[in-house]
Amino acid sequence: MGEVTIEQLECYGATSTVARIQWATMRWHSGAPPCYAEFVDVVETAVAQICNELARDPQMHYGQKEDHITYGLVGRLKVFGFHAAFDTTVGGHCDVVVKWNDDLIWLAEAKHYTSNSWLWKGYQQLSSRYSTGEPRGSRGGMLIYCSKPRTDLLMESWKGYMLDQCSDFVFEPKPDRLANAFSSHAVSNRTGVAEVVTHFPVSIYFEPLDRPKKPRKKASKKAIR
Amino acid sequence: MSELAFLSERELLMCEKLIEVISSRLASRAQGVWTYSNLAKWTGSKVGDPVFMNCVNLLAMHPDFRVLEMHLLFFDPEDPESDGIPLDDEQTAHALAADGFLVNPRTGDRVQNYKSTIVPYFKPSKRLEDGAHG
Repeated sequence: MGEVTIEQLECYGATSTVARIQWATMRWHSGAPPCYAEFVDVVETAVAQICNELARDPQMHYGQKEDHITYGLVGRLKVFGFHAAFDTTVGGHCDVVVKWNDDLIWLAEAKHYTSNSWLWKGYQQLSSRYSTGEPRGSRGGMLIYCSKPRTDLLMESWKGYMLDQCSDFVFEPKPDRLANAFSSHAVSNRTGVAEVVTHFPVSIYFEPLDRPKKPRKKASKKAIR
Repeated sequence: MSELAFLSERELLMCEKLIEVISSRLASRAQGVWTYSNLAKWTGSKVGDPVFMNCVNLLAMHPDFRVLEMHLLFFDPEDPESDGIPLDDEQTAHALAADGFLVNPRTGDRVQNYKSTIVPYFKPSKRLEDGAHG
């Protein structure tokens, strides 16, 4: 036949994470819409892929504002074929909104890791302000931009802080998504539906050890005095 | 940052090439069948080249730049002379579903290993047609 068949496209889709994401969204666009579980799986695979791409060039993102990084992430989600929007109104200005047919929804809040209390503010916005608590919108993400070293320790500290705020949280590691990623399970205050948030730590820490150290300033005469 | 900032130089050039080919085919009487293989031939690309594949997929999926819609043709192994039977929306949905299947539109029988008998092809999206005619 000499033409590319569905079988060949499926094989191509298995060659890389990007190809897998593209083949999934291509099928959805062409009339085979996903169930919520498949939608969430592919969205989160794509978000993890983009987080990996961001972490590959930390010097490009170190010191950038949250919104700038997140806007780029949303642009990349669109390239993958998602109906994604930045800073869209869903009960407030949610940083990332991914929808399918206005039926399935995945929301995310992005925060620089400056402190656990700052992340907690983002988590509360996501879970109590933006999320409807409906079953087809019960999954979401926290995009945590880490300009500090050791995301493993930062995430352990963040989990501990979450437990201090509410002892009912259940955590599940998600190493298949991203190093040190995890999901938190809670119950929606609005509907009682189980809510699962995946926490994506994006390491944009950039302090190469081979960089020449700045010479120490000579002590001023004033200081000596 | 641009919406397309994540695209490489090669991908941007490939998108331009594809849009040129699509526009000229749309304006021509002999539009041909827009399969992956034909699009590759018309743009001087290779099927399976990730840059080519990414760009075709981008033009068929990006919510802001969607100019192509994917459809399916069934090539009946029992009818080698056939030019392919276009599948309707319901048949397409079944064929592309995760646990999909295909019923031969000609005989009504289920097709074994149906994925090797289906060829995707593209049509201009409604947005592109509206743009071309308006």
